[in-house]
Amino acid sequence: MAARVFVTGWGIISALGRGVEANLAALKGGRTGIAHPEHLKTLHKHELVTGEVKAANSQLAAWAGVSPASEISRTALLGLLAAAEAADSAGLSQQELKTAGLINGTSVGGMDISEQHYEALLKGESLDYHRAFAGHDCGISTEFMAERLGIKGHLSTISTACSSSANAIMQAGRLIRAGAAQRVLAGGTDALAVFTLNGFNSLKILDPAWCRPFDVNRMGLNLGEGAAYLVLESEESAAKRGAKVLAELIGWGNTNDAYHQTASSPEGKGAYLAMKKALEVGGREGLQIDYVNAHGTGTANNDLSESMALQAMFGEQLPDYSSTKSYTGHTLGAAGGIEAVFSLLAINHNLKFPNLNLGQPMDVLPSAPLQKLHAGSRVDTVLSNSFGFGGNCTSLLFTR
Amino acid sequence: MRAYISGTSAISPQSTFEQEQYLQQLQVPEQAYLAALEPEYRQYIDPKLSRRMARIIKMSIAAAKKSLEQAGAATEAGGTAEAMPGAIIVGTALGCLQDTEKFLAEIVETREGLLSPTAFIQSTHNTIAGQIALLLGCPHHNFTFVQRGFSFERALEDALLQIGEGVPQVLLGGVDEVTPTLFQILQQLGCAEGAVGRYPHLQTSEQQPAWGEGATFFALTREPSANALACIEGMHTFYGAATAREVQEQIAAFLQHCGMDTGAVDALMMGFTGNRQEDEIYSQIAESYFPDKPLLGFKNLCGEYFTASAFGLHLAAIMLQRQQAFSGTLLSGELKSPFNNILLYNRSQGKYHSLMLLSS
Repeated sequence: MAARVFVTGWGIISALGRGVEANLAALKGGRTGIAHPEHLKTLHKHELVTGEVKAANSQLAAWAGVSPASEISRTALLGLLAAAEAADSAGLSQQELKTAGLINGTSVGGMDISEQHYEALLKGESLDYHRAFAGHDCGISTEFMAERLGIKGHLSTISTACSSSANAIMQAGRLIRAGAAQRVLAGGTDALAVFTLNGFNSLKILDPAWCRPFDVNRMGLNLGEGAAYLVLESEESAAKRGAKVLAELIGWGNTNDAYHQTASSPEGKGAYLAMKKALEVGGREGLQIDYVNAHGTGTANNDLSESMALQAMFGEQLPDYSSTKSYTGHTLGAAGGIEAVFSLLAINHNLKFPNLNLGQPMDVLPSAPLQKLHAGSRVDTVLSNSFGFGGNCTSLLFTR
Repeated sequence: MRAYISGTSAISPQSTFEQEQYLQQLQVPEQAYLAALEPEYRQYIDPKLSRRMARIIKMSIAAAKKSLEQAGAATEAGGTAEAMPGAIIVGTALGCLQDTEKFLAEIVETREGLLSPTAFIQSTHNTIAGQIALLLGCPHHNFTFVQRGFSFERALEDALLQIGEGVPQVLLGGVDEVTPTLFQILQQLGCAEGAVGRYPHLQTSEQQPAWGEGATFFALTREPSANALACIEGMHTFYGAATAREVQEQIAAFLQHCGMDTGAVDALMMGFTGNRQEDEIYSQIAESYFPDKPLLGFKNLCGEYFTASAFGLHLAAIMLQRQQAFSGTLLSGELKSPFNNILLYNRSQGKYHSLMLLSS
C-alpha cells in the first residue's frame, strides 16, 4: 500500500514579508510586494521593479543567527529562514530533524556573491577565492541549510529553472509514497541576482512596470526572490507524533514541453500534460478542483500557452484561477515552494487570491482570473502550476 | 529496485566513446586538468544546432544518443531506432559553466548593457536534460540534480524510482565540465592540483587530486534485454565524515539489503585519486574487509569531479560485459573471469559517500 503524503509544516519569506502570517496578511489585503529594488546592486534599479525581500543580507543573517561577517549567499540565508520556520511550525524536535531529509530547489545558488567578484577575477586582481566562489554552486546552499538545521538524512538539490522547488516537493512526495523516506523538508530558494535580472532583460520579457498576468496588454514579468518549504510526512510518521496536518499532497506531474529551450509551445502541451499527470497520480475519479494557482508570469508567451493548456484540461468546467506573481514577482526556483504555501493557505483559510493589476483580461478562457479575494466558499482542492526553461512543466495537487 | 543497463556511453578524458578503441591506449595528461576527448559530433547533432552549443551540451547529447541506440538495438533485433525514454534524468554538480562564465563576462564588459540572451538561456543547469528532450521530442519526466558529490546518485535514485513506478526505460546521465576558470578557482581553494606527470598510472602523493570531466549516460530498462550489459542491484548513499569501520558497516548493511554477502563480491571499485589522505580510507577498507579481492580504480582515468561516480559505474558495466579489466584499471590483485559482481564505493569531499552494486 502506497503511503499517503501529509503536509505538517510550512515556512516562507517573500517580498510580502517574513513568515506565513505576514504573507497571508498581504495576500488578503491585496498588497503587492513589488517595488524598485533597494538591496540588489544593479544599474537597472531605477528602471525596473522587483519582488525583493525587504531586508539587507546583514538583517537576514541576524534573523537566522548567522555571523554577518561570513559571506553567505542570500539564497542560502533566505532558504534557512523559511526552512527553519517550516520545521518549527511542524513542531519537529532536534531528534526528528536529524533523521529528516532536505530536498531543495534553486536555480541561481550562490550567484549573488560570485557575480560581485567576477570582474576582479577577469582582471586578475587579488581575490579571496574562498569568500568569492566557495559558495557558488547550488548544492552548497542545501548543505549549509542542513547543517544549520541539524538535518542529517536525505540531502538533495534539484535545479530545473523555474520549476525547481515544485519538483523538490514532488520528489519528496514520491520518496515518501515509495516508502523510501518518512519526513522531508522540501521547497526552494532563490535570491535576486544581477545575472538573472540581466538575463531576463536580455530576453526582453521584463515588464518595467508592475506585471499584469493574463491581461491582454501584459508586457512581461517582474523578477522576485524568496524561499518557502513544506514539511512532508508519511501518514504513519505524522500520526505517530500527533502532528497537525495542513493538507495532503495527492498528485504531481512533471513533463517536458519539448518545444523550445525558453519559449512554451503555443498550445501548452507540456503544461497540459503536467496537469493531466498530476490528476492521474491523484487518482480520484471526478475530483473537483476548487482553485488553480497558475504559473501566470505575465509574459505574452507563458500566459497564452498556459491558458490554452487550462482550456484543453478543463474546457467549460474551468475552476477559479489566478496568478499570485503580481504579488511576489517571479521568484524562479522558489516559485513552486512559495505558491505551494499559498495553495495551502487557500485550503486552510478557504480563500482564493486575486490576480492584481488586471485591466482587460485575455479572452482565451471562458472566464477571467479572479480579481478580488474570494472568501467563504470551501476550498478543498488546489492545483499549483510551475513551468520553467528547458520545457520543464510541473503541477502539484493538494487537498484538504 | 533494480534496473538493467541496456546501453551506456561515456565521453571522458580517455578513449571510451568509440567501442572499438575502448581504453586501448591510455591518454597521458598534457595540461593541468584532464580534458574530455570529444568526438566528431556531426553524426549525433545537426551542425547548424551544434554551433551554438557549449561543449557540455554536445558531449551529453552524443553520449545520450549513443546509449539509447545501444538499448534500441537491444530491444529490436537489428534495429537502430532510438527507443523513446520514459524519463530523462541528469546529475550535474556545476552545470553549464562555459555559458555561465560567458554571460557573466558580458555583464561585466557591457556594464549591464545590451546583451545577447544565448549564453543566459544555455546557462541553466537543466539545459542538458532539456536539450536532450527537445532533440528526442520526449515529453516525459525531466529532472536535474545538483547536489555536489550526490548529483549523479540522486539522478540514479530517481531513475530507480521511475522504474519502480512502472516506466520501462530511463535515460540517465552524470555530467560535469572543467573550464580554465573553474580549474583556477579549484586550485586556489586547495581542491585540485595539476595532472601532468601523475596520471593515468596512479602515484600516491600529498598532492590534491587532478580534476577531470565527462559526460556519461545510461539507458536503464526495467526488464533485462538480450544484450544488457549489467544489472544495477542497488544504490545507497550516506553523508558526513565516516571511518573505515563506519563505511564497512554501511557496506555490510547495503549488501545484505541487496541479498548478497561479502564473499560474493568479485571485485571492489573505489574512487582512488592518488591523494594519500583521501585514499587511505579506501586502502583500509580493501585491506581489512576485502583482503583477497581485486581492486579497481577509475578516477586515475577520468580525474576527480563531482559526477565521476557515473564514469565508475559505466566502466564497471563494460568490464562485466566484456569480462576483462583494462589497462590502468586494476590497482591490485587479479581479476579472473568469470566475475559477476562489482561493488563500487565512491567518496567526494570526504563526506558524500555512495555504494553501488552491479551484477552481470
